[in-house]
Amino acid sequence: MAIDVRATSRVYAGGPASVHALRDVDLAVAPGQFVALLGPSGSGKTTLLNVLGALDTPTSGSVWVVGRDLATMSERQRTRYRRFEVGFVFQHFYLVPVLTAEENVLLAAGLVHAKGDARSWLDRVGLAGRAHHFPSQLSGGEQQRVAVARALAKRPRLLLADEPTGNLDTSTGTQVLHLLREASDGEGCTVVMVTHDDDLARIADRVVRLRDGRIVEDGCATEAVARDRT
Amino acid sequence: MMRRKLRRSLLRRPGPPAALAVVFALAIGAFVGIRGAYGGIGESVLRAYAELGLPDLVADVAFAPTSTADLVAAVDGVAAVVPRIALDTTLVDRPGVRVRAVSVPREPQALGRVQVVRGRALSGGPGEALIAEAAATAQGIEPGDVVELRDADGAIRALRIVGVARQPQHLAMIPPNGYMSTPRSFSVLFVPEVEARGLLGRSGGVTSFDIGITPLAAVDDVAREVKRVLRRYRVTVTVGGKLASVRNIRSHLEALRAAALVFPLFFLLGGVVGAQILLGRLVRDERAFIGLMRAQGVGATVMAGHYLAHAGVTVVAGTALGLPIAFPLANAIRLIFASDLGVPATGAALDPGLALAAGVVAAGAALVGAGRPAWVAAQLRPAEALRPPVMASPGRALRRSRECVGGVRARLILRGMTRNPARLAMTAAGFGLAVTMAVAPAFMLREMGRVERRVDAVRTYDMRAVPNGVQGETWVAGLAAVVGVRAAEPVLELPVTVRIGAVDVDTYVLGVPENVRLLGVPVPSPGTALLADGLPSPGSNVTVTGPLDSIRLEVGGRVDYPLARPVVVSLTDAQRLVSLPDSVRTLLAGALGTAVLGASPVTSALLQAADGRVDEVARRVAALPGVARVDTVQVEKQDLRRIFALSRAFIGIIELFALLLGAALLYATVSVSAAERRREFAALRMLGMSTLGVGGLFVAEVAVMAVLGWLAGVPAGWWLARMALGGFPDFLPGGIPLDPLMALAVGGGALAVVLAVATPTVVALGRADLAAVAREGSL
Repeated sequence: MAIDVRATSRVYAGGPASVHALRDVDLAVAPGQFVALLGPSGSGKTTLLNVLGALDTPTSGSVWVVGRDLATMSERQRTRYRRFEVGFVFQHFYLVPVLTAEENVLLAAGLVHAKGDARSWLDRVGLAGRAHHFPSQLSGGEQQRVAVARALAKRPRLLLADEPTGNLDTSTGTQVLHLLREASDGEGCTVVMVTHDDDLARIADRVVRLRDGRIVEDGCATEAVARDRT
Repeated sequence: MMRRKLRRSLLRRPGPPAALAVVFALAIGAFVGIRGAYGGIGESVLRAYAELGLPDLVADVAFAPTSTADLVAAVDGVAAVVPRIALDTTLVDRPGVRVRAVSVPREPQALGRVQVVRGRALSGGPGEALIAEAAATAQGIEPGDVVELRDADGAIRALRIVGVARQPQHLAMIPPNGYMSTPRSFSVLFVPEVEARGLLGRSGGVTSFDIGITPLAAVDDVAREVKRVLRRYRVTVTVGGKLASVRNIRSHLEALRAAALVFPLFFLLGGVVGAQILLGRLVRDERAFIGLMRAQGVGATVMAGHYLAHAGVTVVAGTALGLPIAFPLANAIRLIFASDLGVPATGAALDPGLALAAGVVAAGAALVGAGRPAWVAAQLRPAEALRPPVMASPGRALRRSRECVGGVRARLILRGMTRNPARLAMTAAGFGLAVTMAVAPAFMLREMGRVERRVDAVRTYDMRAVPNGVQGETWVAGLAAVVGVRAAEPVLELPVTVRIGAVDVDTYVLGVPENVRLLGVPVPSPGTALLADGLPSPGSNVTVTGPLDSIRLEVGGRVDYPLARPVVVSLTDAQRLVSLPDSVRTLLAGALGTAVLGASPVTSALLQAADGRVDEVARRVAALPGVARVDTVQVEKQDLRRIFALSRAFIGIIELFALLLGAALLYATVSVSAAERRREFAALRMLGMSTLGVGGLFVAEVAVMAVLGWLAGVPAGWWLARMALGGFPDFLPGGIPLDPLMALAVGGGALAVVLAVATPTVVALGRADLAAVAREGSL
């Protein structure tokens, strides 16, 4: 399994008003699978993504990703895990504003000493001609494509995308989704994407639906979406 | 609601506002403390001068009949005359301590009154003396002690100290031709007239006149007339304000006044910069909040007031912290100056008016700093403020740096700094101010150390013997034969006027023999002169005008001479200034004495004693006929060390304040800088960059800022130090050299402080909740 989450909970302590963001979640994902995490706001999907990306630690349970137990990792090990195993694509892109598109990709590739030309990654996302532009000179869709290129340039085994089309129009969002799909198909990346849009989830191999911190549905994307509509 | 938000904003990130409050506290503490001390000391000095009657003029004569007092009194504009007898001699039982015995008339004096502060007044009979307060404190002499003086004939006379007193002409213990207050090696004794005459060995005359003038008379006119009246008695007229003691005290007070103005001003500038940085970044950070409030109908004025209130709170906190600092500071400075200058030590009290003024000025500074950010907050349109902040299109400089040398990380650092030129300028200004404040006192301290070392290098003799009147070189040869004297060398020092270019400078000439070993100065060849640092820039020639002659000398260069600014010439050239042609000398020899008109006159002899026999030799030489006094270099150096120790204490206090301010300002700047870019750094960590890597980027940025601040701060601090010590042109004539090693050391120190204050920030970066940041908006 690329991902093996067992009985994992995440509680944000706040005295009597503690928030149970995840409650005994079990999830297994095979390598190369494209999983969409669906659910309403506050259902725990971003928390699960953050736990998978080692941005957050579970309160209980075990989280094995590409053969490593994230729950027991030191901060140093978590950093190395993020560097070598994970690529992130965020809703707000998080490109470094003082670096050009090419430099943003180079920065990520440099972290893992990845071979390959930053320009070729930009070419793959259709932005070779915008390599010398700063994020502020790019549209939202272009920025997100740079973010995808940056994530892929590290050649990660796990690609985590949190509402990657949340700030984009439909057409641009579709382009970005196709890039993620290609990453899964072409690079063999395991992709976990958070979304609250059923239509977007259709592109995934599998849809996992959360509500109140629990997985309430897990199945084939098209079936799950169709079932939800009915 | 806004008040609650203000409180929570301050509590959420208390470090930077607290640091800013410390900056204001230091500014207010320094202003109230130094200004309070200056006010207290200045007032007590002025009161002492007024109550005790500082003369408007002092006329010193070689010796004039007592009846000349009537001539002086008859000069138009003269209101009062007090004739006195003064004699410079030495204390026999304390080698190296010089004494000026000054007569006190039996009847009440109109000028230069002697105020007894301990013990009792003079009874008028012989064998009694009062000692000046500063000397009594420094030398540990108390009423009841007996001191032994050598009179003009070389005989020893014992005087019982009956009291400790102060007199306006002699508050600070400045020896004749001296620049510094040296109460350990120079005393003033106030003696009855009968005793003064006994010491002088002459009766029926006086040696000086304290003169008071009428309110409407012009000092210069009266001085000129007094000079004319007393011309035949070789008179020197000095304006009261230029008496050595008065001038010294005024120089110190002037320096204190400047310090009270300049240092708090720089501290307040730090506050302005700090407030601008802090509030500017807070407003940028709270754009969404501002947009929300404005969208809900909160007015622009309320919004601006909210951010001004931030600054107001820091000033109130700063004032509350600063005022308790001010009182002990004022007290410490007052004690330092009272002890150093011999001025009356009045109690320090916190002046409410001064405290209020300081608070108002600090509030003004805070408002100036917070003004622009508050205005920006007020001007933000709700829709614009609610949009996620987008980095402005990169400027030309940023686009050019695209191809800069170095990898992506170097570009990240460079562009991280330069993306907002205003922010870069403010941050560098903050760093620059911190460096300036730290470097100025450091330069001053270093200069004092340099002068001390230079004194050690120049004064390689053990003692200096001063004759009664001018002697010939044979007198020096006689001293060389004294048991225990290893070497004796003649020197000739004369007051002269030197024409350098088109400028006439009153200074003195120092004539040294060709083979001088006991004075560590280069020896100019005959016909050339070496000008001490501090004298104007020379042309190729100077004209030196002495008492009897004027000579033109070629300028041979500069000489680093500590604590004075003489023209160094060969002994033979110096002797030309006081030698008459042979024919004239022969004619006058019978009337004035051969010693005065000798062919090779000297004014003192430098002596080196056999090892461990300095005190013994000093006593032996002082007992010789014709020797007026012996000054041991050990006592001179002790005096210098004591004076410098007191100055160091004062500068050290300023330095401590400056370092605290610098650290507080740097901390505020660095932590706010990091907080502003928290999300950017978190994003880098999400990419897999280690905390150390992100911290390294941040530290590199602030280090570059520190270097920029250093580049600006070192020259500024140097200028400030030169200005602060500029009030002592006689004392520290050479100015302050800009020492590269010192500058580098300060740079290293600034970098160390930056790293120290950046460390907690880097640790905080490492602990940032990445998941929380991931949920936030754009970078």
